[in-house]
Amino acid sequence: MFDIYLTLIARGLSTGAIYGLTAMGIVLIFQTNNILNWAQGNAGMFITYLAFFLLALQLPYPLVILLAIIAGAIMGGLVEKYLIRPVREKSRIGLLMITLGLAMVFEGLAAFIFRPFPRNFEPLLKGSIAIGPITLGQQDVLVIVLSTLIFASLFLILYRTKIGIGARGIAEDWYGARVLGVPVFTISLIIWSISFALSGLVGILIVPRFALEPHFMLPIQVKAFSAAVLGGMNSVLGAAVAGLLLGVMENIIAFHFPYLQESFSLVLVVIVLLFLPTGLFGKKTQRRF
Amino acid sequence: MKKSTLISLLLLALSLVLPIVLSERPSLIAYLNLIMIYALSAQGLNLLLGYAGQVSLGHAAFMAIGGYTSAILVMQFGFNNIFSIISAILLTGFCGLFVGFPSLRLSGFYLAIATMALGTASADIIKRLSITGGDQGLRNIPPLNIFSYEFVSEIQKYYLLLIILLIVFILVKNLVNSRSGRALRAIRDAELTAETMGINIAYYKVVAFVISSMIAGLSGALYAHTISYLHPVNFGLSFSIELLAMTIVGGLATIWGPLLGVLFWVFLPRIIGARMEFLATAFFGIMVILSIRFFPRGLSEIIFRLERKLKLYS
Amino acid sequence: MLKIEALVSGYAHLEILHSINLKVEKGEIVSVLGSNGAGKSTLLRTISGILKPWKGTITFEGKLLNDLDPIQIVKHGVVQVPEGRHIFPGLTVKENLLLAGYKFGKIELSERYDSVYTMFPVLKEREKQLGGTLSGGEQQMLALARGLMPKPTLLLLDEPSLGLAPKLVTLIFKTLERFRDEGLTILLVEQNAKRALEISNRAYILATGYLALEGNSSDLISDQNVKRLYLGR
Repeated sequence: MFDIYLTLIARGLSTGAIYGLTAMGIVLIFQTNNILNWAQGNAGMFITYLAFFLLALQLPYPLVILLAIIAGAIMGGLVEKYLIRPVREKSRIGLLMITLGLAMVFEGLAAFIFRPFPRNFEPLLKGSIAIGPITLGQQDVLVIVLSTLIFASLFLILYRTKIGIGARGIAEDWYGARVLGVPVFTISLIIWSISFALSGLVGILIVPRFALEPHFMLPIQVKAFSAAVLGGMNSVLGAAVAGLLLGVMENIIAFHFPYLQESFSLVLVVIVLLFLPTGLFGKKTQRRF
Repeated sequence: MKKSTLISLLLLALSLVLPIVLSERPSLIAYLNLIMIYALSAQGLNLLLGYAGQVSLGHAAFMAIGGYTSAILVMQFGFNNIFSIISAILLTGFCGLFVGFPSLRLSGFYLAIATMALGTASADIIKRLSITGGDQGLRNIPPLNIFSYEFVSEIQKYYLLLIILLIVFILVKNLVNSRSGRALRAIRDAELTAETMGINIAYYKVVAFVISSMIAGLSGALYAHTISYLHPVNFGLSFSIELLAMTIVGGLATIWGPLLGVLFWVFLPRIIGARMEFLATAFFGIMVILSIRFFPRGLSEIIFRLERKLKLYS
Repeated sequence: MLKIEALVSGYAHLEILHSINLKVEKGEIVSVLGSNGAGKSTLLRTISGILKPWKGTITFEGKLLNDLDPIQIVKHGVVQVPEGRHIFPGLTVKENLLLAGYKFGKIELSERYDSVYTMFPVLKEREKQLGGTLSGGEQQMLALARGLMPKPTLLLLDEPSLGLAPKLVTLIFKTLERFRDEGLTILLVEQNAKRALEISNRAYILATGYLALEGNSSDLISDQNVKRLYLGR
């Protein structure tokens, strides 16, 4: 019985890593631009479609992943420069709606160009491995390893590079950073690039569990938003940990009460709103990211 | 007579004769009925987003709650239609309070997240329950029956919906022009200033949100008895987003914007044809972006500008 | 050094400054005085490139600044210490300084740290502390230090005495004089007119977006009108 839980937790960690990665992208953009990026999931969906057709061209899988990440980075940059930047100092709610519109554009284009029926998407690694009593798909292990690496490098970027420290500065005080001559727009563009690249990677890693269709990233985005809120919306670390927690809890709950799997995030969000408005790692701290 | 009143009267006359003209094509009238139902929800969103400056990503869920409540009360418990619809509105309002109260006392984005969570969860819960018909959906919902008069044909439904639509639109119009409406707009435009003016921000936001969700509940109940079929898939997160898009494209903070947006949403795919249907979504997304950037009042503003241009030339 | 001619500027559709002429010579402290809403901050924001001038010209050492963005203006040596300090509370003192010296490479940067730390030894001690945990006086020091980081030739100061105890105000103004003695040119915006006139060479008085008066600080300080209107006596 205990072994089952170990496996559930391990699998939950892999799902949670996916939520965490997406939530990190959402928090990065929320912190530097003060908006909820509703297009986060669908950007990943669109990139996954591109990857699907690159794979169909017989390109090697790792190369396709790399290309998808690059495509995501370019898309993120374009979106920041041409859609977000012109509006950003006007209205915050307008920015949210721009990302809503963008999500619809991705969805409509994907359904139109690639046709909307579900397609099977092969994982990079197919087998499974047994670690002690735990049996885990190799792809799940890959997800956990990759997201650990990504998290570590994001942390290094945010705390050790000029761009990252600049991003943290912008998150606290956009105007202050601008007056000092920090290239706020360039940094914002880089953040969007990182977020969309993350979203593309997430899409490719997780799509084998479902099927490729224009809506497949929506539930993941919902969970990622819940994780971001649970993590306090202001810390990348919080988002990552909350994502992992959410993945594990959800997996265990779904095992016992399968009908609660989707509603669980609502319960969680309402609890956060009522009792932990600053998230799990709360305290109205000064430190962000 | 003022020109705007003249136009309103003309439009009213047109909407009254339209079904008679179209009486040979009930399917078109059915479309118009759907448009009026959606327009109600969109008007609710307009009140929330356009006048109070808050985003809901769960209005489709409110429609579902309203629709299922009224349908189940009539079908399972033999409720009178008037009571069933009032119950539906009240229950949706209560759900709005449940989500809106905790999130609106916090900062801006929490309502979006909370309604998103509600939107996902409610579709899921409906799917799992047996009283709602689960994944099979709820079929054969009886048509509206008010004081033993049954609204069976599309034309009958049309006139009833038209009356309800007009009443709701007039109520919303009066609300936004009232003292509360001015308070709401003050909050939307400058929260800090509104606070120093002594406006109880959280109170007005919650009230706006509850009213907005009640309108969506009404719209959902009417949907149930007009379409006579409910399925959770039709009220998912995507439809909430689409409702938002209709409202934005039609024109935020304009009374007729929601109707315009919905008209456009329903007819656009029919105009560009089935093969291009999916492009309609992308096109709408682009319209949303363009509206935010260039036409904050959406289609209403485009029409207004065209009208002004025409005046210049005439 | 800095020459502003017929400058008109404001926010969105609101015109705040109506045709301002002003110049700053090398090695001077020039103060801009005036009550709240006179347009003092708008003036500095326009010079820094946060706001675009509507009309008129801003030239610095012969170069036109009108169309440059804040990053380029900092690179030209015109640096603003904004009103209310705008310290990043969650960044360490050193990270705060780093962002101010964003344009430099590694080697030059460590040189700048040394130079700023010699000027403000207390910041060296607090190097790893978060900006938000500093006292008000220390935060103002940090704000000034950030202003020095990019090696400015012209420093724009917006209300450096705001919210500080009189003792600290004295300290800040002494520091400004030290800056001038080391060759820095300063354009100082202040509500504390008396203190500002005491340390500055020349002064301009703004009233609702127009220049009301200009002259040598020593003349203005004894001018009866100025005394009555701005020095509170």
